[in-house]
This record gives sequence, structure tokens and C-alpha cells, in this order.
Amino acid sequence: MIFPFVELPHIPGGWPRPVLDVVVGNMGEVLLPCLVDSGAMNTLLPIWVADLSGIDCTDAPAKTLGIASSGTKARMVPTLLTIGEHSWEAEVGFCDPWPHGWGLLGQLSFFRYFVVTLRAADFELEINPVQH
Amino acid sequence: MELSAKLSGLGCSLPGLTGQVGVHIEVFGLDGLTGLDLDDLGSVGGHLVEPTTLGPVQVAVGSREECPEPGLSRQLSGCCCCPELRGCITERVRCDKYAAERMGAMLTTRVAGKDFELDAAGVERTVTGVDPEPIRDHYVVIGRRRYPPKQVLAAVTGLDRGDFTTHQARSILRRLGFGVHRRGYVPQPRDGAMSTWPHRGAEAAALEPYIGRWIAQDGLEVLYDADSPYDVVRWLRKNGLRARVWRVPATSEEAGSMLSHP
Repeated sequence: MIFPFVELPHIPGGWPRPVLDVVVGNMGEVLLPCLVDSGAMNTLLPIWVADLSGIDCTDAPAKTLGIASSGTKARMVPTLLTIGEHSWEAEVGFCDPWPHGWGLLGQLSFFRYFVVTLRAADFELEINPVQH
Repeated sequence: MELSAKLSGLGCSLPGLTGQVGVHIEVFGLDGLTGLDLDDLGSVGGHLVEPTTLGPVQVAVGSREECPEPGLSRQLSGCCCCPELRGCITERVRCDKYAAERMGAMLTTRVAGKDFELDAAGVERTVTGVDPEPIRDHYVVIGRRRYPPKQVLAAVTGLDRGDFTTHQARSILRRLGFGVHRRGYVPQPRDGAMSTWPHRGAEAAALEPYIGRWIAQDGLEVLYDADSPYDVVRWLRKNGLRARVWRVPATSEEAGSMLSHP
């Protein structure tokens, strides 16, 4: 599956980014853009996604994480994720607060499930599910 | 014929404006009626907007830089001319600089056998807080939002939507100064350096009015914007739509690029 980078408007750092649209749980009406971030360990999403997709974080274990220039608390919940036609279940951290307009796809719950090829010169990203 | 002469023939007197950096020209309507062509426009950095056989032929000339109001398709100061009217009609130009004229400009129009006096400010007041319905083909931009023209005209006149056509609604709203477009309309990128980007800067241009806002995005179109993701998802669910939901970054931190400014 090949995806073009997402363009950002004219702001500092407004450069196209490798972003994938992810369906979280059964919330099929929402495509949540997530930055493909090989520097992130976990896949992290804003807490509103859990609220609206009916994912209960009440008793989920919490981790304190550093994100951007501040910290956040992530509730770790096994979650069904879907990109295109491919779905997989992985642990996701639902974070509050969350400084980004999108989520992050990290190593433990995204990169280990896909072969990821970044062609930054062409502003495109290719992912293929790992064959087990 | 030179561009300035053609514009003059349309009633635009623009000494010192054409040819300057920052001058922006938009043409609404048939090239054949305005006498302008794309070569004319290209020579001064202008472009054709929504070529159509419908509605009045209009030419607007001015500087975008002087009108920072976001979300409007015609952020111009200067002249806006119709060949049938002749002369400068600045109140048709939606721009902060001319807000007073715009707010006071009443349009008398007849729809479904009834006379109405409408003005842009009244239209904006009426639709403020009204959720736009999904766009099928045409839309009008009011504030930052896109509405079906018939939804807006029905709201401001109280008429049933079956009493008038989309063409009538588009024409009236355009005459009030609102940007009226067809789905698939893509704003012009602000920067030629974006020509190598995935969508040649068109996505960046489409997102520009929504910096810092939560949006529902479908392709290169922003369907809806709101203060929170909860409102955006509520709107999607209400209308049975599917879209990318996110907040357009306003800072480098939000874009996740604290250390990586290009």
C-alpha cells in the first residue's frame, strides 16, 4: 500500500509528513491521521479517540511518557487498528494531554507489524504487512 | 489588446495595480464575455476562478496581501467589476478593508415571486451556529464553512428549497460577495516551491484557513470544522459520512517537528 505524505499549511515546520489514516476500533467513520514515527516506542493516540470509539480506559494501566516538550499520561489498551484493508490488534496508549493534531505510530504496535519504506524524495510511504 | 485596456473596457480602472507583485486577478465567467484569456492573467500572476457559463461575469483585481481574513475565496482589495454594471463596485469585494461598505450593501432580489432585501452580514448572522449539510455539488463559503447554497438561501428567506433553484441561490450569494464554488475546487498554492509536494501545495492551501481547527477532511476538501473533535465526529455521524479527523497544526510542536524545521 502506497500513501502520499500529508501536506501541512504554511506554519513553521509546515513540510509534508509521512502520515497514515488509521481506523481505531469500530469507529469506521473516523480516519485518524497518525505520524509514522520510528523514534516512538509506543503507538499513542489522543484520549478523545478512546472516548468516541467506546474504548474503556478506566482500569487500564497508566504510563507516564515524555512527549514533545512536556509529559503525558497514557492508558495502555489492546486495540484493533485498521489501515486500508489490513487490521491488527496492538497495545495503544490513549494520552491526556496530547499536543498533536494527530496520533503517533511507533515501533511496538506498528513497525513490528509492517515493512515500512519511506521515499521522502518522492513524498510517499509504502507499507506492507509482515507475513508471519 | 493589452490587459489594462481590457479591464478598462469592463469598467475597471486600475492604474498602478496590474503587473505589481502581490496583485491578484480573479475572473468569474466566460473568457469570451470578459475578453480576457489565460495568457492575460498569467502575465500578472492571475488565474481563472471557476469557469462557468452561469452567473454574472465578474473580474476582481486587487492585492491579497492587504486582506488577511481567512477562509474567503476572494480576499481582495481593489475593484470588482461586472460588464453589465460598469464601474468599480468595491462593496462586492469581501475584505476587512471594505467591511463597512459590505455590511451596508443591501441586495434587493426577487425569489419565488417575493421580494427580499439581503445583505452579507445578515446572511452570516443567520447561518452562524447552523451546521452545514453535506455538499453534493455546489457550495458557498461563509466564514470558513462550506454550505449548500440552497440551505443558506432557504435559511435567510424562509422559503422552501423547492421554491428556487441552486443556480438562483448561487447567483444571489455570489452577488452578496460570498465565494461560490463547485466540489473539487482547489485553492491556489501560495508558494511555487510546493510544486514538488504530493498535491503540488493544493492540500496545504486547502488547510490554510483551518490552522489550529479540528476538521473533517475528505481528499483535498475540508467538509467541516469545529472547536473540538467531538463536534466534528458528531457531524460526521449525523450525516453518515467518513473523513479524516484531525487538528491542523498551528505550531511546529503540534506538527511534531520541534527539532526538524526544513
